[in-house]
Amino acid sequence: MRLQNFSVELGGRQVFEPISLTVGPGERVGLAGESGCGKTTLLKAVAGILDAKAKAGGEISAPANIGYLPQESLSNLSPYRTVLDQVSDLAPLEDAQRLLERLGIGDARLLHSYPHQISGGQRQRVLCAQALVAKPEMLVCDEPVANLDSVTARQLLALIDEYLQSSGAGLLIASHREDVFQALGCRVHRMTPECEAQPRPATSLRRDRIVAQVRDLSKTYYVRDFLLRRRPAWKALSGVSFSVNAGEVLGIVGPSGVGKSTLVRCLTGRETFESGTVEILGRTLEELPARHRAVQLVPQECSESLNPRLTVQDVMREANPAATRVNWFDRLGIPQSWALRKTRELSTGQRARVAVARALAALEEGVLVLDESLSGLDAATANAVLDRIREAQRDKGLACVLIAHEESVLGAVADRIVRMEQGRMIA
Amino acid sequence: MSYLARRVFASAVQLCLLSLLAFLLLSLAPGDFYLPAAVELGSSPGALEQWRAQHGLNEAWIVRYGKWVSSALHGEFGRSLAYEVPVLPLLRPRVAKTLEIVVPALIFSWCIGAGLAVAAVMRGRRAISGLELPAVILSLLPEVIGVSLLMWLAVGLHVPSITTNWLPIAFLTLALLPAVILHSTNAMSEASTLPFVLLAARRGISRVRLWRFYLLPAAANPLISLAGLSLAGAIGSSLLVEVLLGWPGLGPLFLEAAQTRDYPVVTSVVMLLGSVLTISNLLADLALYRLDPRIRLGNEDQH
Amino acid sequence: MKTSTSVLLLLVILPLLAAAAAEWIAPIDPVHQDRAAASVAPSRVHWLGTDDYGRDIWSRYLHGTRWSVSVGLGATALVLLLGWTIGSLAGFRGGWTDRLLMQVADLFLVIPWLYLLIAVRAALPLNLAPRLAFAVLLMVIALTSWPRPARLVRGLVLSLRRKEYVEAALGFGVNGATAYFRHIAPATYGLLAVQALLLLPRFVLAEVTLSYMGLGLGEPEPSWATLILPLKQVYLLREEWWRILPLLLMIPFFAGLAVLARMLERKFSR
Repeated sequence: MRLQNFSVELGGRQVFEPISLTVGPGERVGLAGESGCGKTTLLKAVAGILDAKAKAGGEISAPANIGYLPQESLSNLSPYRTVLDQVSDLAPLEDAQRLLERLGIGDARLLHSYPHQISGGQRQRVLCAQALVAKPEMLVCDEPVANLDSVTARQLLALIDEYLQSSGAGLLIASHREDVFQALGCRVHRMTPECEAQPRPATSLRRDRIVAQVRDLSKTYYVRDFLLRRRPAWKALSGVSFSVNAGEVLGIVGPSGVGKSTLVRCLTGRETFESGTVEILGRTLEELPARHRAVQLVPQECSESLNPRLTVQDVMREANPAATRVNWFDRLGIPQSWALRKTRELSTGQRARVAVARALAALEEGVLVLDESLSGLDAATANAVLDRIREAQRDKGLACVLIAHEESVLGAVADRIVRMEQGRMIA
Repeated sequence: MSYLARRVFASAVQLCLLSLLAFLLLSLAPGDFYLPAAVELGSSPGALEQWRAQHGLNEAWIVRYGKWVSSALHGEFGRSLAYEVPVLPLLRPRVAKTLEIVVPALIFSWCIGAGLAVAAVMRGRRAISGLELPAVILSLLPEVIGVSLLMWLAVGLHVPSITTNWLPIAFLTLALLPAVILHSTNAMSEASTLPFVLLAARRGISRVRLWRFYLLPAAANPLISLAGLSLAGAIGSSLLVEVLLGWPGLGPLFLEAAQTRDYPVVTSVVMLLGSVLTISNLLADLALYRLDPRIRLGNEDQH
Repeated sequence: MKTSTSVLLLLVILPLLAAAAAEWIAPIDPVHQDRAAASVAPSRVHWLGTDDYGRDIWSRYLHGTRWSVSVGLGATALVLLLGWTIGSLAGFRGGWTDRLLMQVADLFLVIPWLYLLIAVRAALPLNLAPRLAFAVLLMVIALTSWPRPARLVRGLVLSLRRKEYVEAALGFGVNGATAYFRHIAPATYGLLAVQALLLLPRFVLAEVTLSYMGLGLGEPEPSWATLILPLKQVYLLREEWWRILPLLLMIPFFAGLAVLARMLERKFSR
């Protein structure tokens, strides 16, 4: 595959600088860059599924038989076809079955399930099967392991590696994790300047005052049957207890579906719970006079928490009316130049910084919760965010709770880590 | 299973509420007697009271409602105040006549409309825009011109009397066509830009397979709602068509009943049409249930 | 603005302006009968000719436009207001409010609109003075037509309500109404604008249809319906060809609105 001065224009804006790149047979190239730098657009262009409204400039020559492995999401699989059908649409049935087994999803029940019935990791493997089953000359991958736990990720990468070795196909892969490139032995092409590898560890600021205390928290989800009666469907949390001190960073880790997000939503008052207590600064959520000053949640898709039509200034002001005074922006690490820009004009990483800054602006004293908010960010942005949080912890004695998939994401940032499993907390 | 039960139950509730609405509507009308009768019976209050008592018009409304519902369940929909005959036999031939034009019109408009939409989507963007303009222009036709020019056309073409049904059918088809074209084109072109459809197309799946297993199922939801709306629109437009062209369907009868306050007829027609559409909505939801695995096999929260 | 758009706007606005100024522009009293000049072809005095009673058709057309379009505009405004309020309440509050309101809306939606319109109209007294007829028509149309816009608004509000930035706003202690108007309402304006352009012609035609059937404004008052009514006797066109002119003059109005609506729809769906 060859790109010569290739660029794409979408919505009147040039998505990335003109690129020249070659991937020969058997070669492996990794695309690195900050979030929002256009990796996905470039890969889509190479794979031939660029948005109809986009305009491409420059030269591009790519083989006809390309395998495209997108980032996992439900919309990349047809909800109306079973797993086996979707893969066997592209190649003879035996090939499909063999490949699916090789990927660890050869179980008959799985094969006849629909995409919404299987887990995210399994879906990613189905997408991988779709990409490889037609024996492509070149494989194009867009963040294939971003949402997977380390075991599954390793397996997937191993399989890709095996295929590439046996078929001699070329590889073009985008990721924001350096270890992915290393695992596959890629030559790395950077779309944006280099940034640091890992979040820096920080010194502990822990004090002895307990800011948030959760005791014996339980929550069950109900479902309504046809007579509209409530029936318990699934117990999300059972008897969870923990506490966080001022200045401390607590990490909560666990695989997907174990109740981390539910716990956090109960902690911040977004969800109700049947039994147990949640106390912030010694008072329950109802007793707190201004709850938003004591507990803030930055969700996983943190750029979603900003209204795209409003300016950064408006958005900050909503959190704290005083926040538009001049030195506030500096203190929160947001450049003054962003104040009048609409949030949709910022990149994902920039939006994350604004979302966290907003939460910090609202908090006077209490706990900041980040629900996997750092997972999609590159190291530079993550560092900037963590620096700000640390500063706020120093100034206001805030506690911080970080939710993550696994410990490596937290790095050495957390003072203490607890694990969750099946709605329970394990020390 | 519980989805089906829930849906059927909801439709049943709606039918009950519908009957209440239909009945309430006419009961609250100020002037609740058949107008010509009032004129005939004139000034003698005794005769008026007697007439009212005879027709059961002076009991409490909830009693009348109860009586009406129970007799309806026995197939008796009351007696027309104007024609002095039971309502159901009065409606039957009219309904048949209306169906005579509505069903063919629906079939034609869907075949032509959806067919054009499929062709346009297959050919790409330009074809789609090219199809939309005539459709929009066509959508104006029935609304304005249909009011009178159609009459002129009918007489000008020497259509003797309206026993032949091609004119009402043609008009009704033309009335429904633009909406079908526009909405189905929209649904299909939206479906064609879904990620998994684009991917499947790019990976070289045959056209037939692509349409049958990827594109059409994705477009099924809006298309099925469109079908429901078409039916409602067809019935509504048929009233106007029948009144203008003198076609002896449900429309003219209903209009006359409304103008003369023949409430058993009005109530029964409203109830009938409402039930038909409630059931058609139910069938549409059931069809969607069958076609979409996500509804059928429960929406699992992915973790 | 492109020339095509300005032309369209002109097609729509001119009749509105002419109608608004009907009182002053119309040369002759629309109800005045001049038997001597009955059934006269268009001339310098009578721009569109006269009808059987010697009434000037051009004046009747102007006044009729004023009447019919006023009903249309009034009904559109009322319906959108009702639909927007109810839809926003249902979508924002969710839960039982939503369920109740939508159950009522569905009840109305399940009866074909024209049938419902006639049924509701007929429940009220039939022969009314113009002012009362105006109010009644507005009410009847509004009462029977709010469900569809309400459903559309409700759908939009429901999907926006779950957006993270709305949750965040509520989490910042912003009260419900402020959160609604700041984050959700702006998105509904586009929907309302498109609906306005789609509903206006529909409601004008509803008035015409109702009047045509004797359920709206009747003779001798001028409205688009009373101008079209005589055309029922088709032989009329052979002898008095000018009677179709009012109808032809109405077409650009509807055409312009329909095309504008389509353009706006396309702009907002991007």
